[in-house]
Amino acid sequence: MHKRIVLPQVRTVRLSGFQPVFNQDLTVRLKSGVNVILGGNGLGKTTLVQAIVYALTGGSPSDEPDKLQRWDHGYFRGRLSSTLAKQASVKVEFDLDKARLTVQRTFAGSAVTALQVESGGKTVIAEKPAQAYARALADFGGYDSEADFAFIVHRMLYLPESRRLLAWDTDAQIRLLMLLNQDVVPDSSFGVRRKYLKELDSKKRHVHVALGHAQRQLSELMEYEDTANEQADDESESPEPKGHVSVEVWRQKEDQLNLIARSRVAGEKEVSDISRLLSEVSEEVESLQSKVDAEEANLVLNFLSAQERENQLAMEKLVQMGLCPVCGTHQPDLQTSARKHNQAHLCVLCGSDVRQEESGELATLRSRLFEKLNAQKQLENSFQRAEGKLQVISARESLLQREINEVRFSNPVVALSERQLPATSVLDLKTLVQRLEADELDYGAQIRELTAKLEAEYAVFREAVSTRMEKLRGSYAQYATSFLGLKCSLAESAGSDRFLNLMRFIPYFGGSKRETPESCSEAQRFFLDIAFRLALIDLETELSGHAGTFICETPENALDMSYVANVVEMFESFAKKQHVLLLTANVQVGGIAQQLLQNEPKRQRSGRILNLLQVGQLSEVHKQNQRQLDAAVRKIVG
Amino acid sequence: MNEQGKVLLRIRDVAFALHTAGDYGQALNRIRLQKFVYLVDVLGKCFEVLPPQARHIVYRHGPYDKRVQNAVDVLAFRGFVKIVKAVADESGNLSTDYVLSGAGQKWVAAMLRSEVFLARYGVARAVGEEVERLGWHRLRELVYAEPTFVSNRPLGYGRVLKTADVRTRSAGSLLTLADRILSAGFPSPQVTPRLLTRAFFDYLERYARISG
Amino acid sequence: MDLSPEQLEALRQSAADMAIVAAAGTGLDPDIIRKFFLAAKQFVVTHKAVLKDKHFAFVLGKITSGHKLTKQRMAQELANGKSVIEVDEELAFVSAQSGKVTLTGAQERGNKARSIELLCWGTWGFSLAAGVLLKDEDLSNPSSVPPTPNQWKRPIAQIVEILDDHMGRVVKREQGVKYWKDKGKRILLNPDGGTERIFHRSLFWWLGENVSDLIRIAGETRGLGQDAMDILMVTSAGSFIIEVKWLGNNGSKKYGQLRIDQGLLQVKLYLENDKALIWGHLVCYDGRSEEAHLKESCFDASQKHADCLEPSILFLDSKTPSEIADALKK
Repeated sequence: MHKRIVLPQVRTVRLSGFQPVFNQDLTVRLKSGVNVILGGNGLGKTTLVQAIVYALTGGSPSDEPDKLQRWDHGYFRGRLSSTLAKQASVKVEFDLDKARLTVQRTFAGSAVTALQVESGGKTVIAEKPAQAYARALADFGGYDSEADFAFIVHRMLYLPESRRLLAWDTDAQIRLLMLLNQDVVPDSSFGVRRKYLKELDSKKRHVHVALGHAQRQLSELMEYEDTANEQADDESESPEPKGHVSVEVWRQKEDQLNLIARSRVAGEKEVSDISRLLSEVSEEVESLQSKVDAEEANLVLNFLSAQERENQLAMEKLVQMGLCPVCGTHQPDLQTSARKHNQAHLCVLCGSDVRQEESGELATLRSRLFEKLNAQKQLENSFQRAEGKLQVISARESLLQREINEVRFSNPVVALSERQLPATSVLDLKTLVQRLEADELDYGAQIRELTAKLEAEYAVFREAVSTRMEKLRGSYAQYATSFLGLKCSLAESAGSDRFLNLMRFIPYFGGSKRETPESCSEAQRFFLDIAFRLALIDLETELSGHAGTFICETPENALDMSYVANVVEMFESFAKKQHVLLLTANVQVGGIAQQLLQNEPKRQRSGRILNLLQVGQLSEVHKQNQRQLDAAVRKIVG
Repeated sequence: MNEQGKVLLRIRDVAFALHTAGDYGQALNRIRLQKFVYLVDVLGKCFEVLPPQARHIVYRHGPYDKRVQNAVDVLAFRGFVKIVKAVADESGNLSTDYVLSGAGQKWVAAMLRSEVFLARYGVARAVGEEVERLGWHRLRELVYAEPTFVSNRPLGYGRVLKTADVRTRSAGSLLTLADRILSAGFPSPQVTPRLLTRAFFDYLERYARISG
Repeated sequence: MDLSPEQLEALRQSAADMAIVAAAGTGLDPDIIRKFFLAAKQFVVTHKAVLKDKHFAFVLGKITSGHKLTKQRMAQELANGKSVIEVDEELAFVSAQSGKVTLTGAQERGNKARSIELLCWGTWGFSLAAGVLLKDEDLSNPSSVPPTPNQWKRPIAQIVEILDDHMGRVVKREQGVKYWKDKGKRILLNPDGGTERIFHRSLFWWLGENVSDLIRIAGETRGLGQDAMDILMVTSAGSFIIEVKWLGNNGSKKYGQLRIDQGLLQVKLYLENDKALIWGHLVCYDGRSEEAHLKESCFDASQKHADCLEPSILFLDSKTPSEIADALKK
């Protein structure tokens, strides 16, 4: 059996070298009851609170399963001045049972750099502070490991703005309850063995997959050998080779196909390039041809006209004698018009411009045209050649592809080869399969055995702590009902563990169990979670006789104003039990901070507030609104 | 080039077609005239004589260039072409045969004294010889076997027949292929334009027979 | 050019018109050539009783007003050792010369004079133009060669498979092609024209019958000073050159691995110099030992043109089928 654990009660925090977050070294003294860190956005509320948690734990627990939740000294790197960071440190004094520990950490690494232990009237400054700290936690706190202590701090005593809920988290609840009740837990390694159970299951799954793979390979290899033997028998019976394709030949065809495909792509490009050049040259040819044609057209016209004159044809008669070529009568007007057109080298009848634009010497044009035609012919030959080649290559590619497909689908030897059979023998594979089957059975047996053991231990644990759980329920009901304004209690529900029937606590109100976080509103989720933590701290305090600490960041962020009073009542009830309650709050008149502080004697109020407006780095916005902020602080403090 | 110029070039082609046919005692009606001129355009490639830019299109009775019809009408109007036969068919459509008139003959003779026209006239002669050898009545089936027309005909009326484009299934491609076929194996091939024309018509005849 | 089956067939038939093809090689009038071949073949068939054991050649000469060739005149000239008879297209006698009446002789003659020739070994006729063999046939029975079943026809893209088919169906079975002088010692025959001619002719025939997209096939000596034989195939896609070589021992020469590189180089030269060619292939009929075939058939990749496939080295088995079966059983 173990010693009970004791929760820490934080007393003092000292920060040095925290520029530029704080403009001076800070010392914060925390009292039992309400303590408020007041400040606007970016003034260092979270930095301060996390520095406290860091000093106590060195960052997240070493066994934190959620990667996103892991942090250490590196978290502060961006916030502190790079020159001062080397000397920066945080020192926290806290009570742990009858001892007072003062632990210091810097930000070069996460290890404890100084430890002072005051106990039994003696003060000891540890020579090896890191080891000494772990020992002190064990001796005074009852913690088997720093990881356990860090777990308690992070998951129970500190609620950051990220709101990592405890309610609904089966694993966290089980671990917490077992830690808090480790004096009655039969074997403190429950959590470790649960983890081992999961590892066994994971190994069994891997073996199962490997077994399936090996069985498949064995089956394929056996089929391959049977087929190969069959074909060898067939071949030896007949001198004429059959139409089967050996793996080697098939692979050669694949290589050929790859080569051909590359040739085809090159061929397509060649065809495209030549086609483009051919188009360009053809355009030039057409342009020259157009000019040549124009000259020829003019020549035809000349010959036509000459013959018309010589033979006194109809048009000539129209021009000379005014004879209409259609009716044969004399038409002076028509003649005048015809003559006029004729003189202007226009169409005698309609007057349109029949002559073509002269482009130059016909012989020269023709010579240029023939040159271009030769070039065009060369390109045409090249084009046909390239196109023909492409045609053949494409045909060969298609044929090869078809052959390969036929072989692939009809020839099991080749199909099997494609699947890359292992370079191993049937006997080796059979041995492997047997071994894997035995391993799988063995893991299964181990899992069953361990599961039974853990189930039994859990049952014993539940039985042993049943009375304590009643107290937990009572405490929770008080806090939760205060907040909700209606009756709320803790109900049990089956947890999500795959192996063991573990139970978890969930809220019950409004006549139903709230099985999932989504069955509550955001504010309900948050504050009912706080209620659960407060109840756990109360329980622990009752059992150990020592009060604890609860640190909560800006609880107002999730809260409707109408619930402020309820929350204040909840916190007040907690604070009265001599716990240290540390809240961060924005400068907000009428909020939780103001209402909580109103219940404190006025003289003591200022001692319970750290006003970061005085020590934090004010932004321009803060500076502009300084007077209003100061006025608000004064109202909050009262 | 304007429309008048295009018609003038077809006037030239019609003149050569009628002159050539006339030497074989043939008169050409407008449909045969279209086909003959089309074949001259096609075979021009062998002789490095380019077809006109305004080309035949696919139409009801085969390759058709409206300017060929316009040209023969102009020549008839101006007295260079005679209409020698006008026959009405069952539907009442008039089919007219054309020949060169005396003036037309002189006109062509004058043009042929200029070397400018000799190459094109040579093509017309070569086509005329082949058509004469195979039969003028077969002009239609020969044209219908021509590869450019074969590949474009199913695509509908109005398709421009680009006979010289080697990037398509055209006469130009076939002529280049034929040149290669005939030259294969000979160290110094003698594939003349005339021989290529002969081979081309041989192909047309065989294709017409095979494809029915 | 992508052709329809009808267009391909029409082209094929046109390309089979010897007169036009011969005109392309010689520049002569195709009608005259046609008349010549018709008249010459008719003469041989008509007088086959006299000519059946004779070897002679008709060469097309210029038109003459001379007398038509008669059977008697023919016999007389042959008896005088003048077996190269020059005639016009009407078969009017021009002249008679002595000369080689072998295929090589005809090819050399034609190549030099760019002439048209009908070489006859009895009634077996070889039609040549400018030294290029256009056709060989039994003149007395032109359709004696049975049509090839379609199952063996493949497109040129499958040239390797076509060669394998020829190897399996013809060469291995020695169907119409004899090439062993001494099977036991693996010595190949060495006839007139060389050992290569044996394989060349057989392959030439097979390709002519079994390349489905073939339009024309031509086989000749290139006259490059080597006894190399090649086959030129024209398809609608382009022209292909097949270089034929033999390896092994023909009693007079021995060819080994180096010959493969020589063949590849030859194909490379053809592909570089003839822009009409789009593909080339080397086929070697291997009469060496099986061990040499397996171990010494590598080639120098730098000798191979990019448009040339990897060479086909085809082993010539000298075992009988039963010997092969016995070996497999072992």
